Amino acid sequence: MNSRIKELRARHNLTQLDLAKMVGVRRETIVFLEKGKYNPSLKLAHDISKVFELSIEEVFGLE
Amino acid sequence: MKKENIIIALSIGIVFSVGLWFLNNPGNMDIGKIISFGILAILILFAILTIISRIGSIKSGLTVEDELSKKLVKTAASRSYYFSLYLWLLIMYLDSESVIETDSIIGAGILGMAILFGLHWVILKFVGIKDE
Repeated sequence: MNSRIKELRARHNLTQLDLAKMVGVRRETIVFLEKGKYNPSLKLAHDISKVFELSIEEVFGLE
Repeated sequence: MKKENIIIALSIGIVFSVGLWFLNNPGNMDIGKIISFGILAILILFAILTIISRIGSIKSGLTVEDELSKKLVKTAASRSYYFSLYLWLLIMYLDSESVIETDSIIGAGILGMAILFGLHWVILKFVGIKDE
């Protein structure tokens, strides 16, 4: 699974720490998601998509 | 003094005290004890790093435990359990080939399981965890 988190985060001027705080996870989880090392739960994917005001499909996609 | 400094100072004190105790009892020193001390030192270091990381998260206003950290522990535990079955088979084979004390067998098995868990946890931290 790949994600556009890094790109969207830069567009919204958010740091990894900011995003982690907003969705209630550790910064390490955001790092793992950006590097494609972890597939998020549906809830986390939903929460992250909500921050960027996009659908889950627009943030996450299958490689 | 900061909490991290107190934890680090305490941990270093424990390792240093155990080290001094080993050095002052050269007659009791054997490879088994040296390995035990090394593993103890690694475990304490692991605990220090975990505590520092958790304190850092609290200070930053982040959660201490999230879905990734829970999944890392669960996956490392399940994998280490699976591999420890082979470890116990190996220990049983070695026991049948030579006479080993029961305490040593159980100790080696538990130690092996702990090391396997630690190794898997570190590997997952670097490689990541994907359920695809």
